[in-house]
Amino acid sequence: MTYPWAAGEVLTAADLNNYAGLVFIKSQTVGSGVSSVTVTDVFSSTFDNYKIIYRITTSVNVNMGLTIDGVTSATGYDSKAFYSTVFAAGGFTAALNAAGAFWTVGWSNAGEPANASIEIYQPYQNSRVRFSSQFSSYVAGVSNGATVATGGTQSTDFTLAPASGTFTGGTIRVYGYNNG
Amino acid sequence: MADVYTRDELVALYPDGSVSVQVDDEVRPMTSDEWSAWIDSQVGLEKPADDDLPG
Repeated sequence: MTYPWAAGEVLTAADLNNYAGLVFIKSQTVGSGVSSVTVTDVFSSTFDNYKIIYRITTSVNVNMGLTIDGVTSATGYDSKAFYSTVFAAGGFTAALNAAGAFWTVGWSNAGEPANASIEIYQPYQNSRVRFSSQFSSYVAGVSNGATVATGGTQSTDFTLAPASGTFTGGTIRVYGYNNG
Repeated sequence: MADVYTRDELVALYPDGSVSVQVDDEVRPMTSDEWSAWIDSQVGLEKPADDDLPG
């Protein structure tokens, strides 16, 4: 049945399954004084691509890192570009990050809530995964990751952690992009 | 030269028992061994520099 629907039409499961472009998967509240938060069972064969939205209540002034399960390489996560106002007062400069043990997906601020919207591309289906993110707090910026090789692992979980120290409070929400 | 954390500073900031790890809704304190390894992983990292932030 073609959208928009008309009064009196009978919607099928296929109609409803394809209705939403973005499908809510999971929400996770962040605890107190945690060094990392792992959110499990979010990636699957149902969706190719995902959106992660987080709001962190308090942390220190550091990069926020993201990893996916099954990939623990110390140099496997390429973050090719990390543009942020944090690098120059009043400016917007870039840092080209070398490969590391996590993707730099955002920034956290001491005493300021931090938000980010992260896109993860094919963490379950593909042997090479990519991401991009936009983030905002007291500083703002964008980040793009080239790839991480999963070695064939079908990743189902991800972990969010500050590059140093701990963080407290906030919410992480995960959505899947409907393949249609 | 960037100011970096020493182990003693980190232990003062994050005493044993004060750091947790979270998996979904389960939040548990690190064991002493996990905490010690985590402290070691933080040694030498740059301290946050508030004065780098735009006003």
